[in-house]
Amino acid sequence: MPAYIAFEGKVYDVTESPLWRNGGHQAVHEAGRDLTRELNNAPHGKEMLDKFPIVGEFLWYKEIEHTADAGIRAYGATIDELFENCAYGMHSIMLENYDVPKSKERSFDFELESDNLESLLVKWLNELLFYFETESLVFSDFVVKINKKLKAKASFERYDEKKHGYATLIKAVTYHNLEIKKEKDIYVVEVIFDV
Amino acid sequence: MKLKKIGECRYEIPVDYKAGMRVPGLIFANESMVENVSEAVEQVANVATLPGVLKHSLAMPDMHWGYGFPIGGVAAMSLENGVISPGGVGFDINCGVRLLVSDVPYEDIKGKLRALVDRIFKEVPSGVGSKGKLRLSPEELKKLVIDGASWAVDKGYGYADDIKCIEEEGCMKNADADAISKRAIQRGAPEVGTLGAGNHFLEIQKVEKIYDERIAKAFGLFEGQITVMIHTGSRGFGHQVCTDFLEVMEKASKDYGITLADRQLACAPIESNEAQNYYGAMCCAANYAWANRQIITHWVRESFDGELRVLYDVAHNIAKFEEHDVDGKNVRCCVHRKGATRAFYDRSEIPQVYRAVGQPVLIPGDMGTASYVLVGTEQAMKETFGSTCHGAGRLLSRHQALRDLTYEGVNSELRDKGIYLRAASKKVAVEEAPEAYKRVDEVVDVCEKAGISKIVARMVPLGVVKG
Repeated sequence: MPAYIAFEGKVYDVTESPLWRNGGHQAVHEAGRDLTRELNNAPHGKEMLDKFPIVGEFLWYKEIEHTADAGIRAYGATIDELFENCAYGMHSIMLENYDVPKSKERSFDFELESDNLESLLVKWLNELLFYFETESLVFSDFVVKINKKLKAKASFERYDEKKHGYATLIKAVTYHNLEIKKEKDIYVVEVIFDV
Repeated sequence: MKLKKIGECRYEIPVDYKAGMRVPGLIFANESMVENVSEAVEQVANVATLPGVLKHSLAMPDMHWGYGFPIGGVAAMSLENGVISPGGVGFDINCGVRLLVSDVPYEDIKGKLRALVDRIFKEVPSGVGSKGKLRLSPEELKKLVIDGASWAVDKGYGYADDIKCIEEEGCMKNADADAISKRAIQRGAPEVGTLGAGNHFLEIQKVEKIYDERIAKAFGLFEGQITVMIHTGSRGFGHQVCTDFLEVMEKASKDYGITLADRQLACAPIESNEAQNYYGAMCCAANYAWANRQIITHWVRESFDGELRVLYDVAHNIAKFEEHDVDGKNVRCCVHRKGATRAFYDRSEIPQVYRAVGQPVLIPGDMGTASYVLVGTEQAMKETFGSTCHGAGRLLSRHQALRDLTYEGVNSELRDKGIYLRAASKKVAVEEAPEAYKRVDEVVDVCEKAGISKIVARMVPLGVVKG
C-alpha cells in the first residue's frame, strides 16, 4: 500500500519504509497528511526523510517579480486556505526571516466583511499590515473561515529585528489586476503590494 | 505593440489600440526607452478609458509599470463628466521633494561632511517602523492636516518665508478632517517628522553645473553651491487614506456603472460624495507631507552650520483642480499626477519671486547619481497640463537588484565617487542602487528635447541618508 506524507511543503514517498507499513507510523501518525508539526515534535529529526524520494511540492505561494513593487502568487485548495496563504506570502515579503509555523501562545481574532471576495482579500491583508505598522505585530498560524463574513484567528509576536531580520515596508495592498481564479480545482490569485 | 512616433521624443498609442479608449495615449521617450515600456503602455491605455479624460493619457519619460496608473502618468479629467481615482495619485500621497540651498561654499564643508551626515542621520528618524520625535494627539494631528506646512512653522519649525516657496504654499485648502479615518490618524500620529524607507532619502549635494545662467540666478543657484534635498511623503497617513478610499471607490465604480480596465483604477464622478470625500482626505494627506518636509527641514537646519533657504517644494503624487487649455478653451479640470511634477509657466500659482522665469521643478536622481532643477515651460502648459517627469524611474525589480548587486559593491561604488552613505538598511541600499534605475540624465534630456521643461542645474550627491 503506497504511503505519502508531507513535511514543510514537500511530499515524500515513504512506501518503501517498513515503519510506514499499512499507511501508519508508530500507531499515531497517518500517511496522506501534512506532518510538519508532528515531525517537529518527534523524537527523531527531519533528516529521517532525506532517504525518501520527494514526489511533489505544495505550492502555498511564490513571489512574483514586478519592476516597481512586489507581488505574490498564492494557491489554496479552498478560499479559506487561499486567504491564509496570501497572509503567509505577504509576511515573507515583509520580513527577511519568517518561519512558519510559530507558537500559538497569543492569538488575535479578526472579523471583516465586504461585498466581494477580492476586496475582502485586500481588506484582510491591509488589516494585518495595519497592526504591523501600528503595533509591530507579526502574525502566523492563520486559520481563516469565510462564510459571508471573514472570521480569522492568528497567533502573533512582536517584531524583533534580531529574529525577523530587516523589515520591508509594504505601504498597502493594491487591487491591480486582482482576480481570484480557479485552475484545476485550485484557487489562485496574484496580489501586488506597493513597497 | 508598435508605438507611432509623432514628433520629437513623442510616441502615440492610437485611440483604437484598446476597446474603450476615449482619447489617445501620448508617451514621452527616446528610442531606447520606448523598447522597454510594454506593460506601462497597457496602463497608459487603461487610463485613457476613464470617463471624462481630456486630450490624451500621458506618460513621462521616467514611466514604469505601476499598478492602475503607470508611474509617470498624467491625466486630466473634465469636471462635467470626469472622475477622480485614488489610483491616479497612489498610496504615497504628496510624495515629493524639497530643495534647500545654502550660502556655504563646498570648500568650507568638505572636511565636515561625514560628521554632518551622521548628525542628520541621528536627528531625522528613518527606516521601517521609525517613529517620530513628536507625539501628536488626534486633535493636534487634525490641525496639522488642515494647515499643512504652516502648522509646522507656527510650532517653531522653520520660518514664515519658507511657506512662500512651497507648491500651494504647503496647504491644500480643501482639506477635510472629517473625511479621515481613525486608522489614518493612528498610523499618522507617530510618524510626523520621519523620512520613511524605500526610495525616500535625504541628500547633501553640490551644484555641479548650471545650464541656464539667467534662470539659475532667479532661483539663487550657482556652481559649487551646497544644497540639501529631502525626498519623502505622507507616510502611513497617506497610505491609509488611499487604502480607505480604494475600498469606497471599488464599490462606487459599480454603483455609478463605470467599467474598469483594472480594479486599481476604481473611481467616482468628481461631483459625487465619494469623490469629494476622497479629495478632502487626499488634501489632508498632501498637507501632512508638506508639514513632514517642513519639520525635517528644521532638523536639517539645526545640524547645519549656516543658513538654508527653501528653494522650492514639489508634489509628485497628487490630484488637483487647475485651469488648462483644451481645444482653445480655458477649462477647469482635475489633473492626476502620479509620479509626475507640475511644471508651470506664466501662472499665478508660481511664487512671485520666480514668476518671471517659471516654476522650479525638482527631480531627485536615484541614490548616488545626480539630481536636477528644471523649470516649467509654455510647451508643458500647452501639451501636458503643465507637467513633466519626477525622477529616474525603476529599471530593475528589487529582486533583480538583490540578485545582481551587493551592499559592499554598492557602497564601494559610492565611496569611489566620493559619496558617503548612511543607510538604515543594507537591503534597501541594494534595492535602491543606481543600477536599478534608468539614467536620470537621459530622463531630463528627453523632457528638454520634448520642450516640456528646461534644465537649469545639475547637482551631484556628497552624502546620502537612506531609510
